[in-house]
Amino acid sequence: MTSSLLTKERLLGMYRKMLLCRMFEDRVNSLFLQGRMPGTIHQAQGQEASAVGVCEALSPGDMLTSTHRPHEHAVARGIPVKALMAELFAKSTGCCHGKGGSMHMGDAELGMLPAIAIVGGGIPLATGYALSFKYLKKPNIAACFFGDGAVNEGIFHETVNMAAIWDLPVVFICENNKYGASTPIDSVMKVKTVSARASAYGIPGRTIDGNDVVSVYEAVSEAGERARSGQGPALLELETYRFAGHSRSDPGHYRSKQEVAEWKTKDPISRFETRYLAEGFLTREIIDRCRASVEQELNDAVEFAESSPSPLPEECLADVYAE
Amino acid sequence: MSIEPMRHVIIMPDLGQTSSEAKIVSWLKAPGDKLAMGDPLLEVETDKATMDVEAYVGGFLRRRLAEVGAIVAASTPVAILTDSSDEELEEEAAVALNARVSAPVPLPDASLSADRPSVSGPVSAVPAARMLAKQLGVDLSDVCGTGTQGMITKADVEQFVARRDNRQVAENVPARETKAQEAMAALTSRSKSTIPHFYVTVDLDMTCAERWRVRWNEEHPELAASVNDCLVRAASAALAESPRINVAVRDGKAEPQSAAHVTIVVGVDGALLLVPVPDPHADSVEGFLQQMRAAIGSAQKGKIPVVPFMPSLAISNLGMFGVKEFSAIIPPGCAAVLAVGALRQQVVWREERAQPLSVCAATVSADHRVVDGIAVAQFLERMQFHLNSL
Repeated sequence: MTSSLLTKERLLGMYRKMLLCRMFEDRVNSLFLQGRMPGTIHQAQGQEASAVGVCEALSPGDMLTSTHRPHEHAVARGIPVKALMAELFAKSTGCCHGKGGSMHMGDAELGMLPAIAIVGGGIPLATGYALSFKYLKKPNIAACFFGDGAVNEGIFHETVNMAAIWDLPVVFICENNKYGASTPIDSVMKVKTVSARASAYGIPGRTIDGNDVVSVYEAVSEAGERARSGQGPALLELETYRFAGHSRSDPGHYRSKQEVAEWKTKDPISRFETRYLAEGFLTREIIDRCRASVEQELNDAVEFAESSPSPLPEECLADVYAE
Repeated sequence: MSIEPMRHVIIMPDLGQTSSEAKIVSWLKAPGDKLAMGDPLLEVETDKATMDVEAYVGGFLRRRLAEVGAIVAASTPVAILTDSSDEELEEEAAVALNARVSAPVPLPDASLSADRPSVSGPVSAVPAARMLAKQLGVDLSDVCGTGTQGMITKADVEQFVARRDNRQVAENVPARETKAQEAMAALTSRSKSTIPHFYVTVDLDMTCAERWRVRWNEEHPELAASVNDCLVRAASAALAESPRINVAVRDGKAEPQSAAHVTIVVGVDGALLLVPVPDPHADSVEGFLQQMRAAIGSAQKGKIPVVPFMPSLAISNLGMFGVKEFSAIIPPGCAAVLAVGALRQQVVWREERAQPLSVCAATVSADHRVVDGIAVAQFLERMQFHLNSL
């Protein structure tokens, strides 16, 4: 599949989604700074092409797992922004009824398991979904996001190996943002790319420009079709960068200002704008209109969240145990 | 959110990993400077790192509410921005920052009451409150918001209407009480969750002290001494001889004190106030008793003097309520707090015979980062000595 197969409408939809991801994160940061939103947050500004490119390549019945940095994944997967914002405000109208918060965003019915903050924790769950899809002969695939910090966890090796030997329909997606919290990837990994690990499991591995939404979409579509047709898993490494610190309490002093500035020139949103303004199908008016409509959507979401009720004490055990 | 306030209060965000306060390292902007949204405004040091606090909104920096070096609790206002450079700032006096007492300070908007002139500009309120206000014909600019950032909640509107219809309700809720209670809640939570408390309890023999007190009060009916006065004076004298416990605590580290300052806990209108008393054993008995009366008198009027020292010991007394014994929470900055129960009569076997004694239980809660049990026990021994020699 190539970009020529992406219609203008599809591309514009992806662009608006990236904007929604970015502006959602910026709004959350602003609410945090105003003291209106509680809690620790891990933000993903800069990784929009990865979130949107991957989710765009998934079908409604597919299942996605995420990480401790799930806001953009959830926005891109199409979980309503109101439900995500309400979850961050710990309101009963949130996607986890206000009991999960920032690191557990998702909605299984909408194709994204509420995120798990444990590093590598989503990898076996996605593989379990893939096993069930194969067993039940469903046409779906599972996809899982994890960071570069997760690939040296034992669970990564065990799960990818198992998925490989059973040819399970799962796409392993490493968002390599170069740092596991504050640890640079090259200080904990001898091979130059995460994708090089794929050959050890006998599955395809590719390193992709994770800040180019079209490249990401194409790569995940290709790996997804392969998995859907019974040929087993693939390992994709999306090279990207988070503009913010690991969490709100991390100023990111372990990265040089120059490095951050270089990556900002590869900002997935401005790159998209530059490319398609030049090609002529994107215009300043479209950009302004998109931004205004995203702004409005976020205003509505914040108003919805702030005026929603908190969970009731008597509901504290609801949704906790299987019935 | 179509409403854009013209004045923006920048707060200290909750940036720490284990603590919710941060120290101001430097200001990156000066009053009058123009900021864009996201511009770094000040540099702060958290429990983990030094980092920038960005402005969540653009504008002109008008007021810096905390000095470099101040330790500021999360949610405390640190700066005020306005949309235009010359906008008038009313009510700025309402924003006072006491960095040492890290209790959240109500935002300027929240401190407005129905009796004060309202601030010009749009009012921040939740939609449900707007709807209710419209139904009941309430002007939101008259309502005091208690929500986040002074936002008006539905309950605020309901309360306003109740108050408007029955002004007595308002008179029963003085704002100061709530603020002192808030400060107490913040201080005790911080103390109990960050200071490793340990407790040492003894029965203090008050027999000699009581004999002295009865005599003193007969001779000086105009300047009577209370049991508490005896305890404060003896404790201060013992403190002066106990350098290991006579320390103020800053950032978990002991700072030895040259004088024996104490602070007494006084209950006023449902809140507890900490009233500093400088070196109470050093003055004459008359001077000391007058000092105590003045300190407690001003506390009851809600005035706490600002003092240039840090007391190392707090004293809390519930004896007047018949409490047998209790243990208290250490006020941040002190090394220990002495909690005293009621005076009671006891017969003990001493020197081959039964003797009636006046005793009271005294429990010292101490900060184990800076003090150990032996130091506390020795302090209590010295305190007994001074009670015997009043």
